[in-house]
Amino acid sequence: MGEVHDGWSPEQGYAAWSDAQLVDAVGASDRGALHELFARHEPWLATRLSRRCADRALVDTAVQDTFLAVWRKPQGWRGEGDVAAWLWGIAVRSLLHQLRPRANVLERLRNLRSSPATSAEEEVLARVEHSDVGVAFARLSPDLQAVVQATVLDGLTTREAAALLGIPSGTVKSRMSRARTELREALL
Amino acid sequence: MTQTWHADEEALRAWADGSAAPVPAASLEAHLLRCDECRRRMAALAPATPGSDVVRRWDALADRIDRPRSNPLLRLGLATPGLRAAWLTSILLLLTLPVVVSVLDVRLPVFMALAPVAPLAAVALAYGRHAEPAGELALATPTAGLRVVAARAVLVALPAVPVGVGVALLLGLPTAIALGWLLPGAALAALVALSGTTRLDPSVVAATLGSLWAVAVSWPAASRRVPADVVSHLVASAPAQLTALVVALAAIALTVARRDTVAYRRTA
Amino acid sequence: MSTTRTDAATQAPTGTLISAAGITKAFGSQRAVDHVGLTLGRGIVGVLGPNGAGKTTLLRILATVLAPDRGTLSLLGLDPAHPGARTEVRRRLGYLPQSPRLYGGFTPLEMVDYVAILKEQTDAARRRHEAVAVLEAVGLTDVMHKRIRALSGGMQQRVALASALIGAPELLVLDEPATGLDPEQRIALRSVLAETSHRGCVVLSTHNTAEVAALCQQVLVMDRGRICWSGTPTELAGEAEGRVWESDVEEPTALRSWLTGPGTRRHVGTLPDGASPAVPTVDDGYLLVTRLTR
Repeated sequence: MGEVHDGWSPEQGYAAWSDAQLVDAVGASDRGALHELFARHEPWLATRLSRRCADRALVDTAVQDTFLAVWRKPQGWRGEGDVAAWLWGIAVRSLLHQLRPRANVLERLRNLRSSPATSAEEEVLARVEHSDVGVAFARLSPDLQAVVQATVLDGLTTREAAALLGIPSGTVKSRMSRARTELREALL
Repeated sequence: MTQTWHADEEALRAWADGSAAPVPAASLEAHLLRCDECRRRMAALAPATPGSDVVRRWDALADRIDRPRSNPLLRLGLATPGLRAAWLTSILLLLTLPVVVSVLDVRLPVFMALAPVAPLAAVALAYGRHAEPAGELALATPTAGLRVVAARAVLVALPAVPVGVGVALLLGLPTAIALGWLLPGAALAALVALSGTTRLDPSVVAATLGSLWAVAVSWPAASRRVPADVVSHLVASAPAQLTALVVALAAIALTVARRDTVAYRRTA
Repeated sequence: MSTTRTDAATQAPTGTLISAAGITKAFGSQRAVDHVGLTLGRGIVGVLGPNGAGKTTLLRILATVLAPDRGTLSLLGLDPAHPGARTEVRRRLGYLPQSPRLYGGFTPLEMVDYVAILKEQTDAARRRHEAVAVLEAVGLTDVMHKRIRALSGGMQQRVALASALIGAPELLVLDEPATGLDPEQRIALRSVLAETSHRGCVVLSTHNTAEVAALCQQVLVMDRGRICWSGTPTELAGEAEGRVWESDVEEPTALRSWLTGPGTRRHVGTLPDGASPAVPTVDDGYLLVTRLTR
């Protein structure tokens, strides 16, 4: 790290590039663009991952795997939505991979298909804090909150949420349905 | 998208150190996905100073990505398009020759006439100016000269040997003939290597030697005096093989003795 | 007529790194380098001269790429005419050819790593570490994974420079290293070379006096195969002290005159009566000494 101004390249210009431009440049093996992406997104990605997993070593590996994936397969970004959301999708799955290193082939294929797209629910949640939903969410028990967070916020599938939280898939499903019921009751 | 709000530093800090309540945290996380302003503030909370997490993680990542993508041996031997083409051609030649011989049933000892040309071409190309990826810069390195030329020639020619022998055997050519081209090939290649220590142009020498060999081997058969396999067996006979071995060894010894001239030239 | 200076050698505590006497190299009937003698110690030395003065031939001889026809040469205390000694010199040498044609299919990292292999560095991890470091020194960190053919001319020049720098050479021979670099990058080049000059000798060629002033501690002026002057850049400017003036007409006593602005001419030569001398530059000194020796 540490961008030293050494006189070789007076105007690097990465700062003015959009995230999408940076990902394009990474596609052309531009290491400087990767560095800029890293500087922009590593802090929040690492913090968000740390909130899901207390083990720093696992978070470090997940961060590294995320940007390695960006470096090696920048074409995974299809130019839709936010680069940040794409990065989070890779990051949370990298973390899952750490937690569950021996996922079978079938599951990996399933993971590939479920795109880390941001859901409409997230947009609602972005302004949820002062709303009735927010109050209702806050009243849920921590167990139910964790399930809602993993599925709705992190965009994970039931299986992935189960792996992240260390509980069976069936429990995720039943807790999710309980959370849904409680939220509905609180709001209606 | 227009943002209606931005997170203040306090909220970001609370989120970062894990003390934020679930609802504000969830709200902030969703917000960060779409707000580069707040991501920037987040990054500013932990500036990149030596030893900080962000620097440590970048260094670990850089260590993973900063590796040459290709193998050093391949870069030495097959990097430049010319060398790759030579390598492919020699292998293709040795793959197709036995097929041509057995399918067409030609009168000429085609295999014996052309197979030794493959190693010869490899050596000539290894001497070539365009074979060196680093150009003139490489001349001032300790390995410059015969060492790097020889390494390159061996890398280019070696894969052709098992291919040539294997395919010939597979197609039912006699073992003596399938193996018989190796020593003449080595002798011709060694002569080209030797020419590289003189003022002669190795590629000219290679072309001349290659043609001479091909003509010499196919002439008796072409003039219908002798059948093709008699010539082939003659080449594969002990005296001819021994001669080739002696020529190869002598030329290699001379080349090594004169290796100095390869890298320390008296001409431009 | 060879000029041998020992100043640089006495400045350097480790003494002489390059010494040559009577070095001659001819191509056909033309002597590209003609009885050159020099003694160099630590520091950055610029070989300045017009195109065709023999700079490149001299540098190729110093880089052990070309054998001289005559004369004695000692590099780092070794005689490159002997194969063993020559290999040893090459282990401690970095060379940047005049127009380095690097294979465009490599990335800068692969190229520098490859040159490190040629320089007998067998430890892959150490080699990579050093390659990354020299690429950083020449400001190519951001592009070191792109193909060389996708880089600008100035960047390609810097890839070659990095290849010359790998392995911490004590002797650095650079043929026109500043080609394609802008003034700011020339300053950066200077700081890169300064590091090598602390431990060894940097010899570079140029036909640009501004580069010499910016980069070098010592100058050798070369013309028609001979070294016709040597000293510091300041001393070279000093040669023209009292022998350079400006006017708006042609001057019969001038050895050389050139236009410097609309209607203004600058002259070097014998100052005519009544003319007031101008402040001399390295340019003036260079033009004067190359003209005086002809």
